[in-house]
Amino acid sequence: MKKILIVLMTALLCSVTAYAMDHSEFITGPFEDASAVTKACLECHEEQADSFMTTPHWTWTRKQSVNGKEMELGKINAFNNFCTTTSSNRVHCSECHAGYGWADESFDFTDKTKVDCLVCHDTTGTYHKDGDNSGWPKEHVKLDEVAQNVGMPVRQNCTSCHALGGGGNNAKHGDIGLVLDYPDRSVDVHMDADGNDFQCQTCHVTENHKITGANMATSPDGYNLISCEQCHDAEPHSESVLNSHTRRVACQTCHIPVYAKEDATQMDWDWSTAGREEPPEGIDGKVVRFKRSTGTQTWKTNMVPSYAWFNGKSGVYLMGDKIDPSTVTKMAYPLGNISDKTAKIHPFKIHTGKQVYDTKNLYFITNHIYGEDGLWTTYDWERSVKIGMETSKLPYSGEFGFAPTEMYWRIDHMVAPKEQALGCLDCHGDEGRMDWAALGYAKNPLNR
Amino acid sequence: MTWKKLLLLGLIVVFTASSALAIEGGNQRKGKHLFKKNCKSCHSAGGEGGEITPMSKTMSQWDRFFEKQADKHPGDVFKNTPEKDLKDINQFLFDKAADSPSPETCG
Ligand code: HEC
Repeated sequence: MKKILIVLMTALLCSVTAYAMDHSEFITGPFEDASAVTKACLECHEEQADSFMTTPHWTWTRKQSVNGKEMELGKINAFNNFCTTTSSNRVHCSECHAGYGWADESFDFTDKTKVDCLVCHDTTGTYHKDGDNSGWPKEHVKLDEVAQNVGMPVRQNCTSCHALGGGGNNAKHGDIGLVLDYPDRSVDVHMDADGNDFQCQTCHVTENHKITGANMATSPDGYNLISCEQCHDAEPHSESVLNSHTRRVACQTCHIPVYAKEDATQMDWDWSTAGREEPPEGIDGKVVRFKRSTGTQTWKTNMVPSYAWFNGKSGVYLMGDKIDPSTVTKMAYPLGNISDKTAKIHPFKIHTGKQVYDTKNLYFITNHIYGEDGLWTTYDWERSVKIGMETSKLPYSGEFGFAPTEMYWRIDHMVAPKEQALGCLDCHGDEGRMDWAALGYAKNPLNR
Repeated sequence: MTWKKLLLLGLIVVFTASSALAIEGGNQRKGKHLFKKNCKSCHSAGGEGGEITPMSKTMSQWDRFFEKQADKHPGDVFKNTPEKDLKDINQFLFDKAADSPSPETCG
C-alpha cells in the first residue's frame, strides 16, 4: 500500500510540473518543417536529445544476448509474424521511428535535428505521422500549435505506435489497442480514465528517456523487465492459498482472464494468398479478411490467453536461421519450464501465420512489400522477393514457398477488476483452461 | 469574363471557403471517449435522445450541428461541457461521419 502511495504521489508531482510548463511563451513558430521544431527544442534540451539517441526508440537496436550469443538485435533486423522485416521497407516502417527521414541506410543517426520530439510529447492529439514518407508528420499538422503544447507523454502518445503496429488497431499485442487511450475500469483497472488513470510511465518507469519494459521479439534477454511487484507485495492476497500460487503463477494469469477487449486483435496472417485477384474461400470481411496486398488475416475479440512457462527471457527466429517447413517455426517464444524455478505460468497471445521462405536454402525471406516495386503495389512475389533479398544480402536460391509460423506475445495489459479474476475452477475444474500436460504436469495439480 | 465563368469562380470560392471551415485541431481519440461519457447516456438505442453514432450524420452536418444547433439542444450538457471537450467530440463525429473516409458505427 505504501509503495502504491509513493508511486501515486510521484505521478501527481510529475504531472503537476509537466502541466505547469507552458511552452507557448518561448515557442513561437512558424516552422518550416518538423525538424525546425526539433531545433527549437534543442535550444534548451540538447542533453535530452543525447540521451534519447542512445535508446532503441531511436536506434531500433540494442546489444544483447540472443539464443545464447551476443549480438545487436532490434526492429532494425528482427523477424516478426506480421510485415516480417523492416530492411527494404524503411520508408513505410519509419512511420513509427521517433525520427525524421530514415528512408534507407544513408540516414544519419548522429543528427539531433532529426529526432521527433513531438510524437511522444504532443498533448493536442493532432500530431500524426504518415506511412509513406519515412516518419515525417502529415502535411496538415499545425506544427506551431503542437510545439506550443508539448508536455509529458500520455497513453495516447504511446498507443499511436504501440497500438497500431502490424496492420491496424490492436493488431499485434492483443492487449494494447486504442481502447487504452481512455479505457473504463472494466478494460483496465490501472488505466481507467475516470479512476486510477495510470499513464504508461507509471509502470514503465522512465529516466532520461530510457523506458523500462521488455518486448519478447526485440528484447529476448528480458532487459529492464518490469513487474507487478514494483507496487504490489509478493503476497498480496488475504487468502494463503492464493498467495502460495504467486511463486509459480504470474499475476497476469489470473488477473487478465481475456485480452482483445473491445478492439479485435489479429490472430493469423496467411501471406500465401496475397497477390491473388480472387479472394480465397471463407472470407467474411469481419473475422476473416482478405486483401490482395496482404493476403488473409483473422481478427478476434475477447480472447482467452494461451499459457506457458516463462522466466522473462525469450527465444527468437533470426534472419538466416534454418527452418523445417513441415513444422511450425516459432518467431518468438517464452523460455522456461516446470523445473525452472525462476519460471512462472504466464498468459500469451499466440499469433499464427504462413510466411514466404526460400525452398532450397530453407530460411525465411526478407520480402520487399512497400513502395512502387514492392509486393503491395506489384502483387508480384517473384520480383518483390528478389528485391527484398538483395537489400538484406541474404542469398536467394530463386525458389520460394510458404511455411507455417507462430509468434508469442506477452499478455500484461487489460488487467480486469478483481471480481473478474479467475477462480479456482477456471483452471482446476473439469473444463479448466489450463493444458496441464503441455505445462509438464502428470495431472491437474489440484488432485494430488 | 462571361457570367458563366464568374459564377463558376464564385462557386469555387464559396466551396473552398466552406470546406476550409471544416473542424480541425480537435483531439479525435479523446473525443471518442468524451462522446461515450457525455452523450451516450441519452443517445444509446432506446435512450431518451434516440441512438446517435458518428454515422448518423455527414461531416458537414456534424459541423453545422455544433456550430448552429447545439445551443438549442435540450438540457444543459452543451452549456456544461467545456469548449475544448466539445471541439474534441465534434472532431470525432466529423472524422468518423457517414461520408468520412473511415466511418464508425460505435461510440
Ligand atoms: C440528458 C440527455 C442528453 C444528453 C446527455 C445528450 N443529449 Fe443530445 N438529445 C437529447 C434529446 C432529448 C434530444 C432530442 C431528441 C429528439 O428531438 O428526438 C437530443 C438531440 C440531439 C441531437 C439531434 C438529433 C438529430 O436527429 O439531429 C444531436 C445531434 C445530439 N442530441 C447530440 C448530442 C451530443 C453530441 C451530446 C453530448 C455532448 C448529447 N447529445 C448529449 C438528450 C441528450
